[in-house]
Amino acid sequence: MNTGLISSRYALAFIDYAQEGNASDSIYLEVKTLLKSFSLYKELNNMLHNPILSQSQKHETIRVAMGGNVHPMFDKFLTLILENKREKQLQFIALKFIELYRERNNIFSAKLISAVDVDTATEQKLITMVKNEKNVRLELEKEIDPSILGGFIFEMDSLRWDGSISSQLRRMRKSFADKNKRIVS
Amino acid sequence: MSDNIKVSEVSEILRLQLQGIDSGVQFDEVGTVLQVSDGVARIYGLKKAEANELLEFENGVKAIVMNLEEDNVGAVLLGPTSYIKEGDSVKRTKRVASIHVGESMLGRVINPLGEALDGKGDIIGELLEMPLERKAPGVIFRQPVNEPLQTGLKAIDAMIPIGRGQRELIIGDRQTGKTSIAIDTIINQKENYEAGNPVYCIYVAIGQKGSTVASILNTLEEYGAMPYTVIVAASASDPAALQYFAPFAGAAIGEFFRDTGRHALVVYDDLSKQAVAYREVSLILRRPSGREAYPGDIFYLHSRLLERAAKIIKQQEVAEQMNDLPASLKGRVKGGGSLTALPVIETQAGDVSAYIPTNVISITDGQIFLDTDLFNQGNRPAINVGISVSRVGGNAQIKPMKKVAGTLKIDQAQFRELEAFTKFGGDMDPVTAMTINKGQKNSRLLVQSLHEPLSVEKQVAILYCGTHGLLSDVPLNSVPDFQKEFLTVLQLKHQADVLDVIKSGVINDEVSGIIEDLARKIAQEF
Repeated sequence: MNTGLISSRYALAFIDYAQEGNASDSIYLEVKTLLKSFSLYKELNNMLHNPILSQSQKHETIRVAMGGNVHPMFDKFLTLILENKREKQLQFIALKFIELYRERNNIFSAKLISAVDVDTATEQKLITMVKNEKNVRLELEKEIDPSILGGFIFEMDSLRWDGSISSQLRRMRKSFADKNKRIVS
Repeated sequence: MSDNIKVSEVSEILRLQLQGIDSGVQFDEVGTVLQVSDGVARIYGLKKAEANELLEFENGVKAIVMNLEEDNVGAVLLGPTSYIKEGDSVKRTKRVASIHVGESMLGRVINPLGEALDGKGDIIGELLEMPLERKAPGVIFRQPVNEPLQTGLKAIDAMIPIGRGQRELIIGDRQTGKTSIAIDTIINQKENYEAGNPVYCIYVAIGQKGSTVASILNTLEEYGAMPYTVIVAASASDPAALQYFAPFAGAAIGEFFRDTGRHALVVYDDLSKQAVAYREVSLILRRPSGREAYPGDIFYLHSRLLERAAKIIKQQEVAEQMNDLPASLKGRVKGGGSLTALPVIETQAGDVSAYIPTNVISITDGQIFLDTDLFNQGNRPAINVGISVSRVGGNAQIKPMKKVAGTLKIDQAQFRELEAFTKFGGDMDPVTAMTINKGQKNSRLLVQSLHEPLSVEKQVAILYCGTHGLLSDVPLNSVPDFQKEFLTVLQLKHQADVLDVIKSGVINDEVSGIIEDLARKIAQEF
């Protein structure tokens, strides 16, 4: 019930603490690594929910998931979370931390998914376009996914522009299926 | 060369091409699934998502927003949990959970999302979008219940009458005939359908076996009830969320008929299973639990659902102003429609004081209580008259029925009391003996076979014989034969001067005279 509330409080305390120690930039990168581990290895979350494992075992696993090299401030924070038995919320806390960091540093994250590699010129064009619109620091992540067949998908924050061929085909198929339905909205 | 205009670039052609292209590409709001388990997904992102909003996953599975938390959204899945994985992206549809309703839905079996389950193809034709969750009509858009909804069952129409727009609970243990009462009521609406004044029926099967739903469909088809009936099925194997939404889908379909000036009847079979499904969803969403682990808003769940059953005011100009009208219904509203609800609750070992039964009893306008003992004694429908009641239906009873059966309920209660004494044996005074004789005959008269609903005029005629002691000389075992013969003769010889007169709402000395003469004549044969 209070998942959102708990993670927000921890994340807020953590970012303030990190900024006081001038370590927020390096911690931001570490949190991103942790989140990547969360999305790559589903077992990591299961492990945190496991009541049999001891706190120290969990602590060690999180360290490994972060590449083994953890900032002392982050390590302290992990100890606090484990002491308060809030490790189940770690993923939510990490996400909230990223959100807060980006908000405070005026960073705008975007993701470009394309079927083939995009050249630097197009990439720069896209970055300039967003910067002109928003006047922010853009953090662009690129992904190549041949399954979209062609076109591209551009994600900004929680908005997505899906101009991929696969989606267009899907929409076309749906519109054919709905052809004989007359829906009054 | 590139500056040269190609033939295909002529403005007119370009314009036509543009008209034909529905690129459909727009900014979607997306979120990412962080956790998924037992039909509930926690989604990060979707900051602007609204409560009850429909979400769509990339593979087409849908979900409904139930929890809005500070940094995540809890959504219940309307498809198999195994189709969704952590990391999947999900987008907002910017519309609340709704169902597309239309006339073409009649005769079909659908799921709570309005998708056909009967293999007869998609539901086509004009469909209106009706939200699953909608506020009930306010006080000024309603009018008191004053039209009867005939169930075709003597025991109910005589003693526990139901009016159009009423909420009457059918409650009892398993295997006591709860569903049969609902099905008989649906079958009895055939007469109205044939007369061109249909009461559309919606049967909502919640958490039932697929085979049970199939057999109900067969029964309704066999008795010609499907042309005016829709079956909404969320069977036991469907996700809890679908079982939870099924009654709301039924109510939305009913509202379509109600708000377009027609009459509808919705059967929720059964709400105890819906409560269990809602408990499951709530517990997985980590909402605090209360009595019997049900969430705190379980009462509100049923009250808001049942409050949507209503009789809408006849005044057209007032009805048009009805609150919370969906956009699709604007301009189509007609006054005078009604939605009657027959919720079903299954009790455990006759315990009506459990949590969900007491809740629903207090919400509804009366209850029909079915008793296992009565059922086993052969009194079917096994209605326990003593604790069954209809709080508003009395106003809706037709005059002849009121006159004939007015004292039936209290007479039967007195008879049950006296009957207990006769078990000790001994002599009885003639008055007691007569009361008992009449009571026994009446009890037998109220027994009715499955799927054989009687029209109201026939009910009045036969009950007249019972309440006026015309069966005193007929042996108890011959009562069913007497009834059969009496009704056959009445239909053949007195359709115009008795049955039609009663149907028009009149019972006078002439009619009662004919009934008495006929009854005496037939009674002599036994």
